Amino acid sequence: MSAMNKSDDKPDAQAVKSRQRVIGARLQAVYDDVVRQGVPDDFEQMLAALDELDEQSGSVKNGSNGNEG
Amino acid sequence: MVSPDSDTAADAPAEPLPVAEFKREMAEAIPYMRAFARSLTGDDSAADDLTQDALMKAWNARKRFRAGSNFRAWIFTIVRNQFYSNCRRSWRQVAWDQEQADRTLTGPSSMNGVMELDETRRALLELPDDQREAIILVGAGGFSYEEAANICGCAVGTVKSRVSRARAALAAILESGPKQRSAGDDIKPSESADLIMAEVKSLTSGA
Repeated sequence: MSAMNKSDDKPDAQAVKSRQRVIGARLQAVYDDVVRQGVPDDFEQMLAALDELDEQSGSVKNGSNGNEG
Repeated sequence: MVSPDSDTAADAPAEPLPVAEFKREMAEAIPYMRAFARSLTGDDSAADDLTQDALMKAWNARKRFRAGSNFRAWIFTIVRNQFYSNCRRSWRQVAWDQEQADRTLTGPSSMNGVMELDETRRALLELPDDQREAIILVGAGGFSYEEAANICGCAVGTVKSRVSRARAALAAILESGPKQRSAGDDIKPSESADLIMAEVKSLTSGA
């Protein structure tokens, strides 16, 4: 049966392929839409704050892990 | 990933990145982390909360990152773990907020327009979590199946099958029109399918 439909399968497979390309492009667009926003201000501030955090913890030299999860 | 043998290797064991470099890597990763977090949570501000939490975790774990390994894969793993460790808490906003969608959809993208983006976002939200993360990582994030498998903590074959199921599901959802619609949204399923076909044509005829 499937052998008889072979000629029909080909365009179908192509349609599926191009549809998948569209979906792929859409997914990329959704993702890139956020990526394009770059680093918002509050994240810049957060990165800057990490320096201070680091300086503070740097003064307390502690090799062991004193984490309280 | 890190084999127990690495310490005994003739080469010096990989060292942690210098702090300044680590920070630069983090800064460069932020836009991508936000994009990934956005796809996990489906919500703008929840995504930013998640990204910030993950950045703090990464910062606290910075001594465990080995120079030379894939930073983005490493930090994406943290984003993902953070998302699940909170039992998805309030990350997930089930109802799509059209106002929020408008706010985030600033410039036009390479695609035909805002509507397609919005529709695709909503379709993504209808996927199961495991399929959604797999297709985002592989289909948009540029990760290999192997990297995605590491990030998701599963086998490569599992990622492959999730991606292919996600592709099929997205095709079905986008053709029938996503379930979650906002009040002002009057796209009919048939129009939705037409849109896809129009895009197929525009993609196949060059560009």
